[in-house]
Amino acid sequence: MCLPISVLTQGRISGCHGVCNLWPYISAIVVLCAGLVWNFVRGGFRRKENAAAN
Amino acid sequence: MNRLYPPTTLQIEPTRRCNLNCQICIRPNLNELTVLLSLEDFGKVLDSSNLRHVALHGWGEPLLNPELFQMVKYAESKGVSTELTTNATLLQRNIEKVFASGLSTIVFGLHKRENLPVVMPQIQELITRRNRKNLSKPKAYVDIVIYEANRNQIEHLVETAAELSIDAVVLHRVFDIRQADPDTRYISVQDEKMLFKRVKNLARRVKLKLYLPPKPSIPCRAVKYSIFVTSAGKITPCPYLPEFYMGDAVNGDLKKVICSERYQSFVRNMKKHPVCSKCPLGSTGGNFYN
Repeated sequence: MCLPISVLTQGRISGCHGVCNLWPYISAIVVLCAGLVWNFVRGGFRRKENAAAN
Repeated sequence: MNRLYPPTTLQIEPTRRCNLNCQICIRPNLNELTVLLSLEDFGKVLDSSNLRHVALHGWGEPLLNPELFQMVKYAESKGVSTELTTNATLLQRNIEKVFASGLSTIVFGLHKRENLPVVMPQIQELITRRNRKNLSKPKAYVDIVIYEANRNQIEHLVETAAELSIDAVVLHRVFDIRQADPDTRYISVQDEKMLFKRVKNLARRVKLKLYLPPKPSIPCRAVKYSIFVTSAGKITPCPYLPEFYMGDAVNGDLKKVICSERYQSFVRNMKKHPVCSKCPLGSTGGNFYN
């Protein structure tokens, strides 16, 4: 018996550990940031359009 | 410990039956030695776990479970990568099943020279047939446990692994829980230093990838990265606590146990635990510095 070699080698053999573990959270943060940036940029374009219309 | 993220590896024991009786194994002291994990129960545990990697071995020889490769196939079909550790004595009759199941990683547990004449031809055959079929899976590794009685055989075992064209060798320290036999205790700090130096040089010479035992840490790697389920479906923090039951995985307790106060409290107090405080994964005292 032994522990999984993925555990013994911290994911360097088989398995998934370390940074790989965080990908769902990183993906969520990227999507959120993209949404915020997009919103901000869209808001900026709207302000320019309104200013031009006035 | 507040888990920022849960463990990623489910270690689940297909059986505690074994065809060998290794000196360093605690099997004779365990209960439920004849239980076989069923495919149905394995499916229930896997489906409830959301873990991305599964290791199908515990305190027995996994190839003795007739449903083992169906479990591997099931896990792989769900996108869960699989590994298992075997003593390789029953490998030959199972080689085609290994390939057909899609097993990602196979590990051969070698720890004494006497077994080599039986296992070497079988390992060689698996690797030769894998290469002939141009298969990328399974990756094949050798795991060598180090203890007093085999310390002079380690280099020979590493050389043998190189001859077999193994993908890498992993060394790990025995955890002599019983401490009843001087031959099964771990070697001294000094002996370990010299052994690792020699083995690293050897691995470089034969161009073999080598992984040395990890530095101890609390919480240890076993607890940080995995959770253990026995062949009877019971959840324990790790195989070195085979009867420290925390729940029933077949009833879907896995996530509940990981988030439970009882489990968190166990992790917080590992330093004082009578077993964990002596384990080479968690401590530089006890077992390691003999």
